[in-house]
Amino acid sequence: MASRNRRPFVLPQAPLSPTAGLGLKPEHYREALEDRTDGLWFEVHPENYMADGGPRLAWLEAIRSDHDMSMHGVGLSLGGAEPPNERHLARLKALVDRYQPALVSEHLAWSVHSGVYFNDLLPTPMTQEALDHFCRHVDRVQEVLGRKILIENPSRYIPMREEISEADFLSETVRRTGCGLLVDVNNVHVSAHNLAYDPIAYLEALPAEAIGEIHLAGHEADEALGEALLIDTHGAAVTVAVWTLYAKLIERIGARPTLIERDTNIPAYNVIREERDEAARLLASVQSRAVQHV
Amino acid sequence: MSETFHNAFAEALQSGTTDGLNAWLDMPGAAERFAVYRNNVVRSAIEALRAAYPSVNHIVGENFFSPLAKAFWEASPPVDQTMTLYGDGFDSFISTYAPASRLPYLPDIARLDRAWLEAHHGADCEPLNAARVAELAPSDLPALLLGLHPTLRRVECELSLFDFWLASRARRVPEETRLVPGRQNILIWRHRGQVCHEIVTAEHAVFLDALATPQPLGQALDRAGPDTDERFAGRVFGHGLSNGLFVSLDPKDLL
Repeated sequence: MASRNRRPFVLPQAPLSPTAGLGLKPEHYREALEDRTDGLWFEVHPENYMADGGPRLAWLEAIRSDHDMSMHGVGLSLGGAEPPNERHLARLKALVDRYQPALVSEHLAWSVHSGVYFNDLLPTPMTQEALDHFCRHVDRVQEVLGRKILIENPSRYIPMREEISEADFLSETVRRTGCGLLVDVNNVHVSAHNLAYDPIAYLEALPAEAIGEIHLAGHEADEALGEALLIDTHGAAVTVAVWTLYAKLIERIGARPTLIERDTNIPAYNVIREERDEAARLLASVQSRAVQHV
Repeated sequence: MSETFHNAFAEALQSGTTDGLNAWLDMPGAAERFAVYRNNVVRSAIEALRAAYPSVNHIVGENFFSPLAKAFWEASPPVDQTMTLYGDGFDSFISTYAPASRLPYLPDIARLDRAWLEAHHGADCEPLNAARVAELAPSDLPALLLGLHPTLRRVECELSLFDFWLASRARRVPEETRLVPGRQNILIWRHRGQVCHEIVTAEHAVFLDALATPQPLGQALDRAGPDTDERFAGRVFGHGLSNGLFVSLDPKDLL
């Protein structure tokens, strides 16, 4: 296991302020475009914008011109056995160059194997070998994009034999590649519930200074197994348990850009705006207390 | 080890059986939990196809569409990380799908939905400015090599499906459900941010195909058929100009 030197990265020109944002859905394009709320930013899955042209790209351009943006990839398959697909990486770079997002993130997960794309975030084995591969893949992405990316912790459903814990896997990736972390608090809650571990201890084991963004979303009980298995559906409101975990996290590490994610059962824009405003209030209260302590 | 794990996992996703994964799983009853991943993968493929083929979905209903889409996924899983254009070949697959054999027009409906999808996400391209054409001498026209808009698609249907297709896309029950025999040539393209569609005559279709080869305007008009005349030429040329079908004049790019 060769240790790597950290490379210097080009920092984004205007880093994202630690305010609250929303996942951008086509259903909400017009409202998003017209919403000039202070500090509001939007996050998109770049895969949804890898078209040759058309109205989606035009909307994205219009919304980007008045809002900060983050790109959250789902298709690089960094936790796979194969290196990231160079064609996909080139398409991502083209989008990053065109829209200049403040943050770019991906997952500790895989989705591509032997030429097939499985449209899901599949579990990476927590082994030294998988860690070596993963770090190489993160290095490659950061090299091509010329900037540091954030890596999101997965939602886990099946306990698997582990050589290292997930928190150690992520911490070691940060140390070797210089990447940052995107902490999805809902994923922490879901995984801790499903795999029976302590979510607070998990969060405390991550390097706080590397956390560059936080995700909040809803989950649902599995249709077949009920409450024994929570599924990260992004199809419901953020639960009280997740809000509580979030409040404790930012109290400890400080305010971070925070996103409300909703990808299924998409409600009216104002409904997710209210959740976003709740996160914004929590962030503001953490920041005002931080100022008082100075 | 990593590659063996990924092989076993990928195989289990496709087959639905987790026997090959036992070496990595750490609990009894893991198969039930593994089903979460398989369900996510299968469902997301079905939903991507449902979104891409709304008319097919409306005509056959959700309960028929889901197993059809699942069967397509088993035969042709996605190979690209952008699911937006997933479904290439769905029309031919439908024509081999036995339960759909009573709906012989369904592959053409799928072709129309596909053309709509490709037109919607196709490359942006500024149409040819009519004022620029107006400056040309009439004698220049036959030699023009008119470039067609990159989103332009033509679907040739065996039956008169156009109204039925549009009603299905809008989730309406069509007023006239009788499908009259007779071919229809349907053009689908994007103009001013909107996907446009219309029926054109067989001669008009031949004319556009000839332009696409590419052939100069004069030859393309000749190819369109012996019955075409000045009025036909004026109509198809004007139609292309006013609807954004032409994007370039080439080759000399004017004088």
